[in-house]
Amino acid sequence: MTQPFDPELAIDAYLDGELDAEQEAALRAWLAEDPQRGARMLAERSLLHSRLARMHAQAAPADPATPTGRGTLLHSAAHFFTRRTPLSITVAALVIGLLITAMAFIAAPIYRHLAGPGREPGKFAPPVIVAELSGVHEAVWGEGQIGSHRGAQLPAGHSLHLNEGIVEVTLSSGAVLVIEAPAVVRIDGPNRCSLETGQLVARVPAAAIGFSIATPNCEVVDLGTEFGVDVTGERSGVQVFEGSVALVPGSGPSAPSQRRVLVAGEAVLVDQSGLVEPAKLTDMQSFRRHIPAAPQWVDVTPEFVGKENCSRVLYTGIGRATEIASLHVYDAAVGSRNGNQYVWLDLSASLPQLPPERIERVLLRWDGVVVPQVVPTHGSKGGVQAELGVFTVPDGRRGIPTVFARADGKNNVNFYAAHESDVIDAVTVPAVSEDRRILASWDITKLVQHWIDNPEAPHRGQLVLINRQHPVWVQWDGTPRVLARIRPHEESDAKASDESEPPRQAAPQDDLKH
Amino acid sequence: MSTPPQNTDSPGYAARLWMDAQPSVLSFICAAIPRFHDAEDVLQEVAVDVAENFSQYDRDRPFVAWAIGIARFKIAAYYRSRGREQCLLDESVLEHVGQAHVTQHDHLGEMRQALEDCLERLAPKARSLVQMRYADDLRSPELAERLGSTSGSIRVTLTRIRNQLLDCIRGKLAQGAAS
Repeated sequence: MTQPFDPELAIDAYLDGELDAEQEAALRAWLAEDPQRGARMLAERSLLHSRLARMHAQAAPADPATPTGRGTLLHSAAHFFTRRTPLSITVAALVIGLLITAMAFIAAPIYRHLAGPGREPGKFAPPVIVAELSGVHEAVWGEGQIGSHRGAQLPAGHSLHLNEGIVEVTLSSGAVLVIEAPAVVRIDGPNRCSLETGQLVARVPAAAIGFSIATPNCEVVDLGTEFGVDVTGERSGVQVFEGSVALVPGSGPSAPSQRRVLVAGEAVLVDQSGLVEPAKLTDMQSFRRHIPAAPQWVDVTPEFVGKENCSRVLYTGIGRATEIASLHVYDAAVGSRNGNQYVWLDLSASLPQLPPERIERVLLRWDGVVVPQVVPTHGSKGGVQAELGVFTVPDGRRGIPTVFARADGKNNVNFYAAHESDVIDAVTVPAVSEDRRILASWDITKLVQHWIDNPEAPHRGQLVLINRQHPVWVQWDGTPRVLARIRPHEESDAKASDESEPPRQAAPQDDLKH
Repeated sequence: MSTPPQNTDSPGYAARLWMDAQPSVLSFICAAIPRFHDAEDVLQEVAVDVAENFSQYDRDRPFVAWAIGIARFKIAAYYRSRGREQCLLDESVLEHVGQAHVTQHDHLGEMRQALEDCLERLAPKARSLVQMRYADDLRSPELAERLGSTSGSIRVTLTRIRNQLLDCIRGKLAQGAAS
């Protein structure tokens, strides 16, 4: 590396844990040159780095994905940037935008790639966004894919190289493509794309009639419909599920005579010469017409029994959750953020009918100011279950303390309490089991009492029980409400070739009505 | 708001001191242990030590200096437990880094406020990148992959954003000092 040593860059790389051996040696030498100067810069940047890490680490759990749209918590700044929010689309776009702008001079090739083929290098013109990557399911992208996350804005000419998984692209015309890997699809314009290889299903609303898909040997023009196209080797298959399409074979010798309209239930194969043959549905690829459903919020709201008895509410809620969604709670904790109360539950011991990987989150929403009190009790499954108690903050208190709990990798669980982002107290308790999920005993009441006894101490923050594998949480805010975020069964996702209706991606509101 | 008389023996007093010192202690640990989760673990150990040994704290000394002293022991213990891995900062540099933290701690409150303001003033795009780096805990290779860039470019961009934040913070501190 012949680049001159940049101490700021090196210190940042060091703080980010990304220093290579060469940079490390250079940084050591630079620090040794003038330790005082080095220490000042390091202290300043480390403070910035640790503050940013703390601020964002705090923000990260508040990601309840707006289950109802009316919770005030859900408008919190933390929520603002999480990837599941609609805003993330903007953020994603902004990030891409940033990269375009900031790196146009450092990394012009990126821009050229992003802008797609046909643009002259060095000519800076804003890309025309014609589509959005509206859904991503277990996608593995080909190398060099840009903006290949959900919410990514796709410019005209952008090619998607999908190696695994299934994604949904919504064109600005309103046409929706469900693309199943392996596939290469180029977004040509707001109402047009090319399928180079692989398969996709297009759902075209009335507004987007005229949407067309080009394959290497034919063009399919939508006449208001839903249809599937697959390209395998030199053959294209077209299957119409609803409505009709116009099929225009390519330039092969048989092509001109082969133009036709296909209606629902029809399927054809087009070969290289442009010859169109009717196909049996059984010969066709099985098309996926919908991206697998996103995790759903299932309402498991318990009966409201009054804020003096949140533990009963919670327990009723957990009971209901158990009943509805087979949630089994091992560890739990309560706390608040920005004046909203949280209960964290470890559902890692859930029964097989609802494996933890299917539960994303449990959300309990509640009105009223409470202070957490967590008392452990022995669970019937041989481990220890946390019993949640909550007591009201006396008048004049300024909110809720924060208590974090973390397994430290040495069979201990550390609890530490904090005000906003700052740790102000800590206890360490031993865990009995090697998996560090089951706690022998832990009692944060002392910590809580601490704030009760010291009214002048700040009382605001959150309490979190972190199980790194299955962080599941419950949260109080506004109307009491318990929501469990459950991943739908994969097998319930239907292929289009099945008779069954694929699962609708449920709007959370619908789920709340149960 | 008037501050109630402080009972220096109450656990609340210790808690408040720790609350005040903690960001600087964490920053100091981060400077010595550039793995945030490990640094947080060490911070917890320091917190426990601070709580247990609070009676030994000399009230005439700055609390943050005392806590950073405890952190130095914990950092040494951390590296001992990791065998061959060594701290990049040698004892003398670490000493200076500790002192620098004590010095800058005087302005911590203003700096934190300034940071929040300055984050607000970042271009949305830059703030998004900061979010991705810290909230999503992505490192430059992952960011590069996600954004179709190179690690090097991401690092340069992040350093520029940090410089921008620090310039903004310094500006605000200077403004505060002048007024």
